[in-house]
Amino acid sequence: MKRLGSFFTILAAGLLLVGMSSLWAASSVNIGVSAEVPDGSPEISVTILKFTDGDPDNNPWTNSTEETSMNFGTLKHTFDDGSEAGLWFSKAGFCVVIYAQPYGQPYEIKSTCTGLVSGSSTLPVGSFGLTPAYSEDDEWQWPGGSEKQGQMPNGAQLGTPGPAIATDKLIYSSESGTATARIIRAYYSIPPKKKDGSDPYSDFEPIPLDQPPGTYTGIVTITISTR
Amino acid sequence: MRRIGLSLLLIGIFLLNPSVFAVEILSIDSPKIRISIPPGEEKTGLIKVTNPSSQPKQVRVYLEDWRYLPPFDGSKEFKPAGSLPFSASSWISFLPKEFKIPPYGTQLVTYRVKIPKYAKGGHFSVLFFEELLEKPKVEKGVGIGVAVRIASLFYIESEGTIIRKAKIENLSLKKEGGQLKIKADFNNIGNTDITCKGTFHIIDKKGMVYARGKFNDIYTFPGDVAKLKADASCRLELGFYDLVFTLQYQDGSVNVIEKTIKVSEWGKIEIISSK
Repeated sequence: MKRLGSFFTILAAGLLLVGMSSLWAASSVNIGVSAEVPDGSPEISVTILKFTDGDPDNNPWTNSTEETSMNFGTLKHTFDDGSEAGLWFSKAGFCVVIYAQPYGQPYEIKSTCTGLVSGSSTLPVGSFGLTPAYSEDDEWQWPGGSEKQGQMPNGAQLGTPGPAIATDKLIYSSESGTATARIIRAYYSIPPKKKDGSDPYSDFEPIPLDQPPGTYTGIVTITISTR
Repeated sequence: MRRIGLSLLLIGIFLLNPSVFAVEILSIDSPKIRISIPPGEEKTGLIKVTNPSSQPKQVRVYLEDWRYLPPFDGSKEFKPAGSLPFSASSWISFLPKEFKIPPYGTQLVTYRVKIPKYAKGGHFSVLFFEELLEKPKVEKGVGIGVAVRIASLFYIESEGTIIRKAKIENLSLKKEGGQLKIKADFNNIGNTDITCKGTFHIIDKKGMVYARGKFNDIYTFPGDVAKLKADASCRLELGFYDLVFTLQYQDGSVNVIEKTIKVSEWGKIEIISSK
């Protein structure tokens, strides 16, 4: 008797469910949902910072001004203490901060400069330097929050310091697979030799003191492309 | 959504450094364009260029050639149009070549690719979209302008003539402690580019897996030889095993290669045969 009661209870529950589901079927509407993730290029923003403090703390964010081109101005050949450098150099340096948002696609950032020219005179190729850099402390920020970008991803690669007058000199190559947004620094300089007399980077060439005077100009082209 | 993300990101930069303004560079909707065209025919298409900033932008558009560089990890070099062996630059025309985009505006660039009747295999070019942030302004000394360019890479294939084929050569397996190091040359012997993602596994005759791993991604043009490398931790005892490479190309095709290997005393590994 108890089993028969259970049977009817289950049957009644089943009928109720069937009835309710048919009611739902009669009153429900299917709404199509679609979304498209576009296949876009990496997006970048740049900030050009000029520092004239010789960048002792290696921090482009302090003692710097924002610029839209790299004006090194008149070069000098003596240090602040009056000693002779034996070459022409600029105390000013520039950091091009590159904010790269790749939307997952592996990418690379390169720099090209064909030369610094004044009429028929050119500055030595190795006199204008590029040093790529990465700082874990550079931050992404948004209203109400911020986050340090952290370590450079495994498999990502920074270019090596060297002459900026070069074709397709590597600044940064992202990790493979799903690439992440990063903040990259590219330091451009016309440096003197180091205090110990060594070169500031490999293939450095000094601007000799007998370099023809003039206004030397050029263009640095930063290229971003997917891999 | 992307715009919102980027806007938030840029707002963040403003907050981080209230005195610093990040210049937003233009973007394009087609960083890679792969087109297959019957020999002697042509196709057209559009690239949408967007100015995400509040300032108008002057844009210059031009073609160059490109190719992959050793170690063929996707790194490229760009050369003047028409200077590289697999150049497709002379097959491409586009308009406009220079234009101004208003703030938050877009511009469509139309391209036409017409390939010759004799064309075979893959050919390549790149369309650059360049903006000069500012001309160098200097009265004395040294002044340098900064330009930023974004690449739209063209992969143009002559329909019906494509041979996507590679040879795996100089395979070597070495045990270093508990690590197994696999190296091989990936020789692109076809007539078009091959982008390859690879995995491997080592199984015994019963199908038991002893090691598995992933190769580095490689990017090649015809004639390029790239190094495939993989590491895996495994302990192989004396005996015979099958080494199975699975190489997946960008068109979805899969190349599976099997080799029988023998692990002898002292951990020496010999490659016995190919299947």
